Amino acid sequence: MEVDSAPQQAVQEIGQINSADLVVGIVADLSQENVAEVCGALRTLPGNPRIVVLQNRLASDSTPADSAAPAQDSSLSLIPWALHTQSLPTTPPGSMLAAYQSTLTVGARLGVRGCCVIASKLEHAPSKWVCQLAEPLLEASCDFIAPSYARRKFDGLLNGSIISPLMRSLYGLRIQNPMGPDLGISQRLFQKLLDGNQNGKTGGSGMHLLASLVPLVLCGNFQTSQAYLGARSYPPTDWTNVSSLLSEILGPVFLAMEKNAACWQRTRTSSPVKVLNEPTSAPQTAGTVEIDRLVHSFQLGIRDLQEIWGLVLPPASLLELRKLARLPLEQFHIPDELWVRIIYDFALAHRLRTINRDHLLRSLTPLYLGWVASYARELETAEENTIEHRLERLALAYEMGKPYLVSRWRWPDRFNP
Amino acid sequence: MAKRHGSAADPLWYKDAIIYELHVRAFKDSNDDGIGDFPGLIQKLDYLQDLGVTCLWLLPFFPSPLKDDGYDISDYLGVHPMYGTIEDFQAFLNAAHDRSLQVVIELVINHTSEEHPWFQAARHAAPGSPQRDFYVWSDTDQKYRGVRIIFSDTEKSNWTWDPVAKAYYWHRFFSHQPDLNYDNPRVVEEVIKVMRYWLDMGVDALRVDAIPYLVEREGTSCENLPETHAVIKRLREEIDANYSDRMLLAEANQWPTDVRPYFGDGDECHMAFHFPLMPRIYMALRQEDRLPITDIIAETPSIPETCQWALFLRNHDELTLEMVTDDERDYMYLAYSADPRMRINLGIRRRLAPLVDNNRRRIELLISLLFSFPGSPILYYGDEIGMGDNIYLGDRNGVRTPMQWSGDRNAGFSSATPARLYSPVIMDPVWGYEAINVEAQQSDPSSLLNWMRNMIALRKLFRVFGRGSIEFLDPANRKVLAYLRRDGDEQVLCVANLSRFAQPVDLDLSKLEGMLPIEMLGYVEFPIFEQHPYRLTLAPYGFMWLELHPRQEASTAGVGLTENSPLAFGNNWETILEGTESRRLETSYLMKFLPAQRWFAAKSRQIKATRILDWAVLQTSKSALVLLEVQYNAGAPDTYLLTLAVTLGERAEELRRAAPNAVIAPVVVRENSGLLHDAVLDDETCHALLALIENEEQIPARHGAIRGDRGKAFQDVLGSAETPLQVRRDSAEQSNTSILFGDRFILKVFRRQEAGVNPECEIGRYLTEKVGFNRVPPFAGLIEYTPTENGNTSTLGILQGLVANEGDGWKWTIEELDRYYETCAPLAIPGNLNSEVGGIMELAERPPSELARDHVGIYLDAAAALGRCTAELHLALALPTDDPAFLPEPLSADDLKALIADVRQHALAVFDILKDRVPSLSDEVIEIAGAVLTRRRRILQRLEALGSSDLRTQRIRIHGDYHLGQVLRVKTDFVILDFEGEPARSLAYRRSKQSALKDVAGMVRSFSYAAYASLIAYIARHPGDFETLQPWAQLWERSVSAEFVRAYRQTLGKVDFVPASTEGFCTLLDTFLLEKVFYEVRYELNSRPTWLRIPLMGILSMSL
Repeated sequence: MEVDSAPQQAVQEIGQINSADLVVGIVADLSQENVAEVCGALRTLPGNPRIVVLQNRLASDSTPADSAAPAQDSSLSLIPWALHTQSLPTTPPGSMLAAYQSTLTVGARLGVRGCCVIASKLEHAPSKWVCQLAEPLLEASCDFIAPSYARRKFDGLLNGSIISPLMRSLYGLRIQNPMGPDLGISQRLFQKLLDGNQNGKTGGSGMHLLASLVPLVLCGNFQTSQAYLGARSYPPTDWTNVSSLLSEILGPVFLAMEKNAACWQRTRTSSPVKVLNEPTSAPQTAGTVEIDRLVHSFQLGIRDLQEIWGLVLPPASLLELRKLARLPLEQFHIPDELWVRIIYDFALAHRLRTINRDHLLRSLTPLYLGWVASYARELETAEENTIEHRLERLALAYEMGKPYLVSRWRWPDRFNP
Repeated sequence: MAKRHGSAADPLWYKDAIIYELHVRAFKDSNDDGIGDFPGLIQKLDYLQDLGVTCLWLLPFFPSPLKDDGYDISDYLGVHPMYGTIEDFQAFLNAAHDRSLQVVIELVINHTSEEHPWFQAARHAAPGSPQRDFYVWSDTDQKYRGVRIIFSDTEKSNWTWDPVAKAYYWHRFFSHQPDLNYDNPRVVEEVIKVMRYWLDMGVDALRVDAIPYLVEREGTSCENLPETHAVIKRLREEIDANYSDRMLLAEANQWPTDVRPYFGDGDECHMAFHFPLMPRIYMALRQEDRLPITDIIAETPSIPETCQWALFLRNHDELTLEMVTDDERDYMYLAYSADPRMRINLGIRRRLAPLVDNNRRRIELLISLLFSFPGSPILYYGDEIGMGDNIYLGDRNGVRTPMQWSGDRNAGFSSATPARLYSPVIMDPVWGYEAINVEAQQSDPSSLLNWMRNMIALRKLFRVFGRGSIEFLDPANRKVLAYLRRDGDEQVLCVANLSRFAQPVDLDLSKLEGMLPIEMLGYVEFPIFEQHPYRLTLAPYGFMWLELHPRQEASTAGVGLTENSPLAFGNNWETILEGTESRRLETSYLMKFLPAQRWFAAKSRQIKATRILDWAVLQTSKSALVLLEVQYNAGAPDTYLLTLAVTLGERAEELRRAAPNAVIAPVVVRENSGLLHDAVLDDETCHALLALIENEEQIPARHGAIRGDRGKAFQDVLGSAETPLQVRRDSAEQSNTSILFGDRFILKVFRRQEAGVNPECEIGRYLTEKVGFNRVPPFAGLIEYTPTENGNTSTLGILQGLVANEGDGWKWTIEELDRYYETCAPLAIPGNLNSEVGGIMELAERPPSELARDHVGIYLDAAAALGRCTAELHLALALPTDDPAFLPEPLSADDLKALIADVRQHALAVFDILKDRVPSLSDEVIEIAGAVLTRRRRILQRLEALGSSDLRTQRIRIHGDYHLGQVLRVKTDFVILDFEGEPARSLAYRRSKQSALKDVAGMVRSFSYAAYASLIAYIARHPGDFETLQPWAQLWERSVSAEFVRAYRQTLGKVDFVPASTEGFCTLLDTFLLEKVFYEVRYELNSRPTWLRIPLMGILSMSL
């Protein structure tokens, strides 16, 4: 979304502001009380910075600002902004992601030192958590502040099973949530992102922008850290629409891999990324996953998608998958090494355009559901502290498997084990 | 026209470019007129993007009479109608940019076509008029005499008479290509207009054709003149002032030193072709000698940072031989153009694949050189599929035939009737389009096209190829070309075999010691560079690219990832002994665990890696036996046996507190955390091992089997003991691990593994089951491992009866000596002490003296008992038998000579080391060392004398590593243990038959060690003078040794395996004493300098 396409009133308000230090885009659908809380917290930032808060209010939302609306003054401007207007109601992630672009664009126009995006409703976060994202930007001590959330068993599985460990393995940065959604970006970094976007380097959508963040941070030597934000409310997983999600999210991730291959192939180790504040443990909620249905989807995939997978996966992986499909439910387990090889082989097939990229990513769905089932079965009775261990183990499997990816990437011969 | 941006984001994009040269006419025909065109080219852009090239160089596509393949331009601002329109070109340019492809077009500005309006106007204009001055005219053809004629095959002069102008005009190329006159400022202005026209359109780069010839001056070669450089600088200024990310590429077929000025100070051309390199690559290949390449690179001057060489193997012209000597040219003609039709001008008109006889490996080698030399590579269209040429076509048209897209009509290039094609497609059986085409190669995973695509992608990953420096190595084998490319931290070693046969090469990479090379194509780690030459073997025409990483990074790659993170133990042992977790176990935890174990023998060696060779799960417990290969930075690897178990919860914490050294790694088993540890600490595991023997079980390993074998004495040893037997561990064991079961059994687990018969099991079983010798622990069984691959069995453990004892001989002796020194220290040295200090044999000839009896006391009886026990062992081992492993064999005079020669050799080496180390020795030792060194000659003479003895005796199986630590004190007697032999020796050596006196010498030296080690300890506890108490030590050592030998000889009586005469006995014993004592000196020098004085004094005390 470009500034020019924003509501006239908002554009006028922006136009009246000569400069600012920070732009905060509130993408999440927060109540006025919450917005007031965020604004109040922002006012406590040291140095009395000039802050512009873009509050997401749908164009159709005619609710008048209630008494809880935060007061505006010379240091903070709250500008209602129909951040969702360009999006289709059926694709909420995409619509939300367009808002990132507008926040950064406004930030660039106002010459701010940094931009923050608030995309989550955080359940147990202290009211000043937003400052964790903003402060390092204003101090110019950091270029990218990624969020760190309290883990719960079945939350953020796509991130935990693919995105985070994959990016860690590739780019050598141990970031819990490399694609946000809450985040802080310095002027130096968002300018680079926007430039890349203009040059067609990151593609068009906000998802491409988010997928480009970590590669850009590593390859451009930007400083990064994590801010612990507490427990995040995740929308319930729609297991019937996983294929769209996979396609929408993994496509940009795999594209970024292709663009930054020269960079990540020189990275051989990973290092932890500093967490700025002390994590606290979050209460566990008893999440549920219907393991039998997921395994059934996996088995259907084995039956129906052999032909496609045969183009992507080597025979050893295919054989292992076949064996898995024959296992009784109580023994169903996808080893990490196999899962990692599958993701790497899909990334490679994406690069080689072995089949239509969208079809390719959607064909990963049964495998992903199988992994979720395997993970859920393994952690059915697990305690809270084992989740970190489990995901750490998976991340290590990604790192250990990286030579497999590099060798296949460099010499993508189909004649392999 | 609105000015467009260039397509590149990096102003130095051309330094990383992979350029693809093509002719629009030859690439793809979209309108079926038989001639390639821009719409056709657009159709094929996806192919080029997929190939991976980053930049397209288009040969001239401008309006032209086409007398010189388009280099005779009649309109600089148009597109030849055959190829399309200016709009078509713009569409192509946009489409290329959409695919991140940059575009280079030709700027042919040395000359125009004679049909160009400028020339037509000039020839009709009056002499001296501005129009006329666009070209170089003369009334005579004698101006600029001596300037070479480039197209010597067709042109006789650089001047041609124009009947219209009634004057001669100047042309360096064909006579239909009059040279522009750059002394006329209007020409420069017009050329700039042309340049700006295309740059405004968005063209990324211009190849400036025939750049050395722009300006002429009398008395010069009319090449490379300063005035020419001034024109180029003017063009460059225009670009820098108005455009970003654009590039000028100079075509100057000159020596590198002459081309260098075309880069200026970074203010003329960005790039220039490196013409002389190309023929030399072919020459080096044919001569199988790297010199042509290394010589020309050595002659290549450095260029400004922002500049780049353009490298190529082939292009649209002939393989030019202008830049070689006459001899070299003759060689090249003979080597690469057997048929004279292949030659044109000063070159060879052939494509890449035909030049190398269609040999795929040669093509790949040449491409590897092209891609790894400093510069940006240029591929000529069709060479990526190995297209052939047609030498029967005129001029250089044989290498300009239509691109071969498929096996369809006209090679898929055009649907026109074949007769309409601008050129016939190649149709012969070897090179024809039906055999060689893109479509076929796209569907063939092993095709040259796919190989090329992979190589291009690989090269693009490494900036060093485009931007790095080059340094040639100088290996002795000149058939091998090796060079280092460096760009900041990025380093790549390239090695290429120019020969048609496999070649070895030793590379001096000592300055890169510690770097880890990784083969770039397969990401395969190679051995780390060390000080000594790095040996590689290259296949015929093989090449290798190795990216170099610092060792620290490589070795910590695994460690860094795994520190403190638990291993995931799944449902079975497979989860940590195979796959990812096993890598972590191998690369991190075991590398730390091993050096901390007492039984790990290679503590002084640096572990490079560990690898699980095989493993098996014990059936009755949740433990595993693992055979682990340990690789070191230098020397041969070892194999060790590990016993692994997992303990969870509280018990794990207890274990960590009680035996932290036994912990290997934290583990997580589902939701429970625990420890992976040495399974010897787990009783259940120990019982499983015992059961394995008792029940003679066999358990499968991953690549073999593990089997228990019960000895005949098992049941007798077990007796009526109640089971299960209580498990204890013996903490004293060093090189192995011992598990005690109640008061019945001891299971010795052999940690260091070697395939073959284990001597301890062999001798133990023989003495127990065949001979019935009871002065050794009874053999009760063994565990052995047999790999499926070769059946070479190794012994994992031996089970023996447990012998009740008062401690081992060493410990018991040291306690006795403590008492001895306590008693003797206050006493005055007896006057007759000196009489006790003689040769051992001399003392052994008579009973112990009264002085010895008074002071040494009961230990003399113990020494005699040990002497008898030792003699009985040797008698048992020398019994007549039909078992060849135990049958005594003759020890000939030659054997003795060889033995003494070995000892002498070793003694010489030890003297040298000792001499070198003298300055670093402590004050107490330095004097003794000096005394030993002064005896060097006498000792060597003694050894020579020993070698002349004519002894005839026997070799038998012996203990092999006999000392006080290998015997147990049992009441008033001894039991002999541990028939493993010296652990550092090979299994074959440890099983070999030797003189029994080797054991005797071992024990005598052990008495000496006990006497002085105890004295050193006593002095430490009771500060005093070592020298004062030394006579007491000598008394003890001498009398005990003599008593041991006396009892030994008496017990033996007359036997064949020991010399009967005292002199013969003495000769042989002295030989083994010297062997042993020099071994001790070396050991103490390296490991325990504070004890060095013990063997040194041993040498001094010998009767030499």
